[in-house]
Amino acid sequence: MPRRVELQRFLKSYNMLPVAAAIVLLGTIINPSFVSEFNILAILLDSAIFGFLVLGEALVVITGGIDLSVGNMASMSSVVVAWVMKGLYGAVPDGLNLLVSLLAALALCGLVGFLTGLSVAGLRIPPLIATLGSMWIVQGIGYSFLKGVPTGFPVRAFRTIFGGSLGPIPLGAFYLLAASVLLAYALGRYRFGRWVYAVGGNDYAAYISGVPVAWVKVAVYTVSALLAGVAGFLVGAFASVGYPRACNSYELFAIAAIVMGGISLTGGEGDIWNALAGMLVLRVINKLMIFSGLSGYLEGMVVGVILVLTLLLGSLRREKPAPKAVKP
Amino acid sequence: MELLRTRDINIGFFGVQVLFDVNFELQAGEIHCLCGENGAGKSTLVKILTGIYSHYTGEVSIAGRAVRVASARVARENGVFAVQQHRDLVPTLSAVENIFLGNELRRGSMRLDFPAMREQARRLTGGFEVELDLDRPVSQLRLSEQGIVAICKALAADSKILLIDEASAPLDNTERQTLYRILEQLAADGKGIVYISHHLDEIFRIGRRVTVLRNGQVVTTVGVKEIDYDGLIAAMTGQKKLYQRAERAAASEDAPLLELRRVSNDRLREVGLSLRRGEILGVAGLEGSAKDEIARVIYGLADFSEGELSWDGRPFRPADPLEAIRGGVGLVPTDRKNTGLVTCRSVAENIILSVINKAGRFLVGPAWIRRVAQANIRRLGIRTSGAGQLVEYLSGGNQQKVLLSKWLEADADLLLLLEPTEGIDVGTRAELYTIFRQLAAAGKSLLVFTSDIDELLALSDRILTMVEGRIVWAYDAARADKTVILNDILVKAGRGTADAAAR
Repeated sequence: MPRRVELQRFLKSYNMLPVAAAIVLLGTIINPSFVSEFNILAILLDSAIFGFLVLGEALVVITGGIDLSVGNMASMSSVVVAWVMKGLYGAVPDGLNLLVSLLAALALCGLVGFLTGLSVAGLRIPPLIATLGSMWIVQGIGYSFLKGVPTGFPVRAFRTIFGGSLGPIPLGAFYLLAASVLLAYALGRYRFGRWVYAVGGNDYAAYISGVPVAWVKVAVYTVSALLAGVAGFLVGAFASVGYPRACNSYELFAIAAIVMGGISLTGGEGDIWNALAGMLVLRVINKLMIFSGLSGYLEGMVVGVILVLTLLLGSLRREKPAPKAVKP
Repeated sequence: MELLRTRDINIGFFGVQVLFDVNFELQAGEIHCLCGENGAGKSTLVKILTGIYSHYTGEVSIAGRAVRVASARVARENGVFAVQQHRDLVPTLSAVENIFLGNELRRGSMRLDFPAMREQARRLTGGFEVELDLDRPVSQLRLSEQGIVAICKALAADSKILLIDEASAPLDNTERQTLYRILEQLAADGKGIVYISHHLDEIFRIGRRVTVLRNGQVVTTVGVKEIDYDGLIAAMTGQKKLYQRAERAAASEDAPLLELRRVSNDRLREVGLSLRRGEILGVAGLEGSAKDEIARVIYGLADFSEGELSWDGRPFRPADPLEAIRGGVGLVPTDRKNTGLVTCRSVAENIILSVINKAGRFLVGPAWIRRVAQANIRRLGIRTSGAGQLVEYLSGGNQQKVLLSKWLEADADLLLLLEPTEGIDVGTRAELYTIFRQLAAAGKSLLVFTSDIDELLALSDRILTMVEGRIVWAYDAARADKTVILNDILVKAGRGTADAAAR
């Protein structure tokens, strides 16, 4: 394939990256000190938290589903860590305590994700409804553990591991990068990836080709829940407390990021790097608005307008695929 | 009177020219057939005339007036209407709602006049002499009924020019005859009809003139009385080639690979058949004959309550497709776009989809996928811009080759082929037949289910006829006669199989 075509295809398929760069540039023009170490740290930290939600959400959406539970799942994860850690504190060595509380949170998230997946794949409950259910269920679990009271993390190592940073780069960003590379690898080079795309593209055709469609669906909801669990660690370490409303409505931002990243909600196509870039755009806008002294109340509106504009541009480009007629 | 004329139409996509100086003309009261192989440009021309592709150059005039068909709306306002099978129906709406979609009858300014719409819809569909539940969502109707609804929708819009694209494909024989009658009636009423079909019989049956396109150019426009079957094929393919029954080496005399003994379930009645390695067995039957159910049972998509199924002498009862695939079965389903292929993914990904499950392969890197895909593209001559091309944009014949590649790559011993050449042009069809024969010669067994008798006669070693879940009779294809087989599946339908038992 000619190099030029390859470059065109690259630019076409990664159109969110230049947008992200343009917005950062815009921010710098508005206020040259926008690109400060503090700001970069803040944006990346934020991005790491949202990034984990976006990864899981992207996986589910590529199979043709949707996961509304990721935000509350992350909140629940932070709560479970805090609750277990507080209960074990003093009774067991700190290292063991940390390990047990993290595993407990992941186990609970994984279990809920697994059951959600089963209800989608086995009971054929539409994903929107199934995950709406699990979204409220995990919120309830989060509240019942701590009776709604924010609780801190007594083991200091927790905050160091999940809230620390290397210069301007938070550790969470490294974890996200690692998780993204792993997921991209699984999607691109493992048969699991072929299955995920095939199920989203045409689940009947996948089924008669011998793809274990039901298990693929169960797997993506489970993985999404586990990734949300990790996002919960980051959010907990950032806020220093486990709190059942910590990530309230984050799932909507995750879905917005995915749509901006060009992943079709009908499934079967898209890739995670674009989704992450879409998420980065949203995070930069958020910080830019705070930094420019605009009201935080306007953020939703701005995000909404940008989302619609992105989709509009995308569909305009699709509508007219054919250049002018050529004469031989 | 001249209803439609195009002058020097040119169009291209992404720098590739698709139509070259196309001149086409349609008279009022005429059924003008348009034929050509897939990719010849028939559908492109239809899309230009209906305003879907607006970037053409050249001139379109409708009823003597030059019209720039810039949008679908312009086309409709000028009375041009396309019937594209069931594709332009909304599956969740009822037949009545679909027929009047965008063209609703109203009482006063707002209120919909449902009784009037239902009445008129009943009159339109009544012409087809079928019982049709007009209030049921069209997704619950049979394919043939959906086709009728699509045609009625065009009639309700009071179109002057009807572009009918492969409309008869989902129809069975009786419905097809009714369609012809209706089209002739419409033509007699002064409408102009452009009829696109792969069934050459139809062209001679209903057409007045035929225009043949090849590689985007008009080869000829002639009256159907001035051309014969072979002439038409020569014009379409550019060569005098027609598939003929080839002498084949006899299938091996070993024990059968697959055997069904008195297999019954709620659709099958004591079906028995056996298939050897290297043999092509054809099953002929109409839409209601449940012939596809045999494939579903073998493939683990349906179960059976009585009888035995054996594979290589051992009992075989796959619980799901994966088990059947592991056993060595491959399925090429009807309606390949919706049930066979993941059309939004690439040729390569579709080809490897079954292999990775059968082989239990875990790591599937892009280099491996590409290598496998390219080997198959070469082997079957799949015409694609590359392994990364989306299956969506391939022609029907090439999509079918992608489906076949899947099973060749998975090394299936038995291929279940359901209506394997439906909607595929003559040239590619001949190519597929050659491929099927080569597979059989290489020791694969093929079970072909089709309603196209000529196909079975050209292709199979033996032919079974089927009516209402029962096998009626078995023929040696070399000595079988088309009328006898047709008599089996048409005449016996509805009469039970009492006289089959008597034979």
